[in-house]
Amino acid sequence: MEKIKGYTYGQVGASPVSLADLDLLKKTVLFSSDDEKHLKLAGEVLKDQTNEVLDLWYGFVGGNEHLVHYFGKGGKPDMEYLAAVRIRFGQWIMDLCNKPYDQDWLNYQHEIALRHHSTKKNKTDNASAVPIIHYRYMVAFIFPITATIKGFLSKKGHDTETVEKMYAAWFKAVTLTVILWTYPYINKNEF
Amino acid sequence: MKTKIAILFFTVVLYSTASQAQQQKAPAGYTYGTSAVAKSPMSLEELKLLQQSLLFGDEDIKYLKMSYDILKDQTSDILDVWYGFVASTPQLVYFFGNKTTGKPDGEYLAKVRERFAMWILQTAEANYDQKWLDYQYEIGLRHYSAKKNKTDNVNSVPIINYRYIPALTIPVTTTLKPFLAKKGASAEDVDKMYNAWVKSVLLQSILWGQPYMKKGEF
Repeated sequence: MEKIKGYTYGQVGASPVSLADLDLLKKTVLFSSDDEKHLKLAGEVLKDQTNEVLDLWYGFVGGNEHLVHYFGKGGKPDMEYLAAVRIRFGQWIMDLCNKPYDQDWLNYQHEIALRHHSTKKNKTDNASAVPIIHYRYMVAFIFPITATIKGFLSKKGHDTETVEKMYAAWFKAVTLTVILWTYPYINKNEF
Repeated sequence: MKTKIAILFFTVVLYSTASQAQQQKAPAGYTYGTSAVAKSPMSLEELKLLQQSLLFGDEDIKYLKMSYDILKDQTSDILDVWYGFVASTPQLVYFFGNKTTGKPDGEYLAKVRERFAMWILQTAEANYDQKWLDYQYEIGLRHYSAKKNKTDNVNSVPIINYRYIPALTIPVTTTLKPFLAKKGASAEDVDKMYNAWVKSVLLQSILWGQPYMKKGEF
């Protein structure tokens, strides 16, 4: 497989969130072994559709000036930056479905968090866009990337119940992930 | 006589302009729409952009309002389920614990519960105007160290850690769905009400997060 620029899964610093805290958070979002199973299935369903998924998500971001703002400076989007992020975004879809949520996964969520936050934004791609993605839009994005995935989950002939289960597992996984991404934005000891 | 008419007129006007949720006797510490609530640091224009980012639109307002009549006499049953979930989840019930003994404070839980019922109705009424926005800020502060425990004058832990606030979107909305289906609405309408609820709860949890954020990062 071709190496993805800036994709450093397994080679990043430790997350400040412990596996024990992750476990409690998983329980709070009702994430179960059945969800794990259905996420894996979602991974199979989505693996040859990531381009279409990203077309849709990028279309949504592109259609909202206040969102595309984060990929540019002075109102002008940085196409190279958008393209570099897109490749990792495709990999993120696969990782969300397929990776075990272990220490490596937890660590990489923190890395992604830092790349949205001023700590590391733009650095991976050497871009000169605005310095931070604001918290509120990052969390809000949970909904569009969940709602729009349903159509793709139903494209491979699974029955409604199975699609619903994949969808519910996806929603939980995205919520869990985005919560971890908020860590750098939050005052000390308040996460 | 004149005074009587004036009072009557005043009562009618007040009564008819108050929101449906407010027509019930307000629980202790429920200060929605009063001068006790500070202005949200977020503007209505910013709220609109946030709603747009969540794909929250007029149709969601319509379906939230539809859910109002369905939920209005079920709030106690809904809260039984939610409180049951909190009680069986030690990392959540902790936030209702007495700081000294560590034991859950029953009185505190009961007082919050009454306001929680109002919150269900307020969410379903979906009048997301300046008053509503201001009250979301107030609710945020009451989860946060700035105001936690103060409303009910309790001796509990000083803050609800942020991560559990958006996490609760899932149990809250998942367990609400069967209640939405209990009054004969079509499966399609139930789904639409449910989706509108997911968006609204997520929106509110984002707003409640404001006090936790580092300056300029919200």
